[in-house]
Amino acid sequence: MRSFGLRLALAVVLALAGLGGIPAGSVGAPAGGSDTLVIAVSRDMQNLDPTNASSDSFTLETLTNVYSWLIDYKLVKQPNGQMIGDPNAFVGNLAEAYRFTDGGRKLVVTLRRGLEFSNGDPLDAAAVKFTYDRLFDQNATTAALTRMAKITDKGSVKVLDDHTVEFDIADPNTLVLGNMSQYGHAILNPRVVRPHMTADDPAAHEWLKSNTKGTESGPYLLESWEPGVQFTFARNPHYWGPPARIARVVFRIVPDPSTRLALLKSGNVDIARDLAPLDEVELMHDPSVTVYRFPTRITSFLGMNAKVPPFNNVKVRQAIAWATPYNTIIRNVMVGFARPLTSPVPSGMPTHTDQYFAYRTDPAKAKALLAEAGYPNGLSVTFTSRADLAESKGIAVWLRSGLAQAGITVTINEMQGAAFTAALQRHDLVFFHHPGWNSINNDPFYHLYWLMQSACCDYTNYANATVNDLITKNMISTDLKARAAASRRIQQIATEEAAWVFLYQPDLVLTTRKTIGGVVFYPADVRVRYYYMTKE
Amino acid sequence: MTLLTFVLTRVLPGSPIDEIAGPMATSQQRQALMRHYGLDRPLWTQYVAYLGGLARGDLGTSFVTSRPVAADLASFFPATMELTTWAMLLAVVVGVPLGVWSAVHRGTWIDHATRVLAVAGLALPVFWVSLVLIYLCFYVWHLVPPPIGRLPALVTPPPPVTGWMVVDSALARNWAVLGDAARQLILPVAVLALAAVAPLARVARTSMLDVLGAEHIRATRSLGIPWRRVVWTYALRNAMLPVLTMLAIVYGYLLGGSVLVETLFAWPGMGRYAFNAISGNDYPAAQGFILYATVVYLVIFIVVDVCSAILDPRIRT
Repeated sequence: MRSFGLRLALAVVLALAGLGGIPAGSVGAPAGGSDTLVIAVSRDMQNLDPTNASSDSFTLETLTNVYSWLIDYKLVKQPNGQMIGDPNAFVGNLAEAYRFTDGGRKLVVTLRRGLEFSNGDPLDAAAVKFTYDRLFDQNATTAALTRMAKITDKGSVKVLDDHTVEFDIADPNTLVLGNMSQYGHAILNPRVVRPHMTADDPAAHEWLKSNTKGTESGPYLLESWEPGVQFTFARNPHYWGPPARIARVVFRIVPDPSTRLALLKSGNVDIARDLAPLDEVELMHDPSVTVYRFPTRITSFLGMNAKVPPFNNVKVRQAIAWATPYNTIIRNVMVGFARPLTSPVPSGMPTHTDQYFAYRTDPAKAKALLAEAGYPNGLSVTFTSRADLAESKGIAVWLRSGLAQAGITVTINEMQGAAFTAALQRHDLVFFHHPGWNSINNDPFYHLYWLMQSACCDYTNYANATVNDLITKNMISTDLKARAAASRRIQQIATEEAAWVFLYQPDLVLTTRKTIGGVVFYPADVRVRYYYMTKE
Repeated sequence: MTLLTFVLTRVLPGSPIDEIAGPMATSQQRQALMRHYGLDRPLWTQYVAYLGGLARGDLGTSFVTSRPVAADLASFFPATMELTTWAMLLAVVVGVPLGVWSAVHRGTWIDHATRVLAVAGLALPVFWVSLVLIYLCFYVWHLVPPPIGRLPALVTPPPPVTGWMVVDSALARNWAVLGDAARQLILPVAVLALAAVAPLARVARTSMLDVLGAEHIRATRSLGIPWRRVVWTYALRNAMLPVLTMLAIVYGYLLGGSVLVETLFAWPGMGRYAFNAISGNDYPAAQGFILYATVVYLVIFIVVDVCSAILDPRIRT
């Protein structure tokens, strides 16, 4: 038996030695050459139909990098040297020029000469017309947004010649350009998309959901997509502008954040996305990594259902707003990667003001308000947080201890993501954390309409006659002075009435190796553009 | 079975349309999407359509990946199969001799050490072991490549034949990729094998102790046949039956996909596919996975029954 034991031990040792026998060069090597970026991402993309896309971040990032549209945000240099896409200044993209005529009732767009899709087909006025005809026929999200900007139907889009398209605008307004500067308005290649249009699927939605080949017009094309494993962009040789500096961008799906962190720190990837906030703080001290922080206009708030007692009582909502531990949440949950939200209109959006925000953490004041509301002995409420969101869980914990000091007992109810979303969209949630709303159009009335008036997204059922009236009157208007006054009035009412508990605007954090440059931030859509990036 | 799965996936709160449509969709647009995916029809009509599809081998189309579920299973299954099979082979090679060895040396330090190892394998959470091994073996010591899935990011996979990276790259005679694929397997295989060694070694030990105490073994020994031959020829064959059953249970369990190991090693396998399907209310994908898991269990237990019959002639009657 002794000899057997020895043999077994020897076999195990040899096996382990064999396992460890890896050529030194193959481990810890840099990720690809200087013209390839490797990025560790948390999840796959989903539905790539530009006009009816799923709203997850990597789907929208892909659409933003492989498609182009007529008008885009203007690149400007900020005082600190950082380049950003200004959410309120526009330039032509596929358009060489554009102009409003007839007192803002028409938008005339002239295309650049010689534009081509990624397969070499011409991108001309007919392609633009095809794109907008399909968009209105499909009648999905982008169609609704386009109608909001008063470009109402197929008939509003006219081809004047091979290079000129005219859009009729029913009522002049300030939303048009912001609405057109996004992926939903990606110009599609009729020669590629039309063959996939069938009687059952007239918008070719099924094909566009998972294909872009031959219809790309952006700086990159989608070279490959292995679901659950990785997707890869390659430089689009037919792009109208200077070619992208990075030839290939490989997105590797690495679901675990600690694995993504290890890959970034060891240099096996160039960029790691969606790391845990605490790890991002630690990375700020790592000399081989750059941590970019960009302030966003994303609105993160606590919703209190204004139709459901006790939250239908303004004083109860105000009491909670006075009891919420704002700074503790920003410090402990967001580890400082956020700034306070002080109004329903976030900082960075025109007409934002924090002059009406009086709330700070004051349990005594909260208790007094509760007594006035008829709850002198305190109150018990249930708070719903998302089980799959660390941020939401953290808020629940700190909120419970904060509100307890004001005599409010909080029971935490954790809901799985899909169930939470379903309840949110039915406006069934009573007291909850909304993880963040970003209005692509940097317009206060567009933003207030969605969150305080629309059938879909007024998640807290907040309703105030004056607010409603002001939104309706100013939504479609070019009178900037009147809009500013109305927006300030709405901010005053909604803040004083504690329509929500205004929590914070999170930062967009991007962690890259030091060798990566050319990071440009687009506050409007918070999507990363790889076009400008460089690698040493 | 299909009816149960069908109903269970649909009573979960939430709807796949929420994921597909995005927050700004109006109720009309939601309705249009429901129609597009056939979700507006009565449940029993949907079920009949699903059964009709099944009869033709069509498992439906995943809402999340937009691909036929059968194609998804065909690409995710070999990833899990390869990982699990290597892990089981390693576990059998290490676990069974370890169990036999400690039974033979019952009560000695060898026996105690084996038991400690078995308890550790059972008690240490697999995600913890994975994290520690990734930290030490990859990050600190650079012994293994990054935990980034089945192949390094910039390596082109071999043309798929079996779906097993190691086999396919060998068939394509692409030795560099073969090496890459093998190295990517080392750590996740080791972690899964550690978890599987424990139950195998324990069952092998108990079963071997029973057999060694049996009269026919004592009789064989008294005939003067060498002890080593008694153990490895006569006793082992009789002790293998419970080990085989345990092997089938562990293998079947691991083939369902280990969500934690697959997540930590970015392994595109069944566990992650099922997790994403269920958390995203992806009905066809979740149904497809459960059907797959059922079939895998059935096949493994049929194979085990056949093997048992070969080992033990009494079962054949």
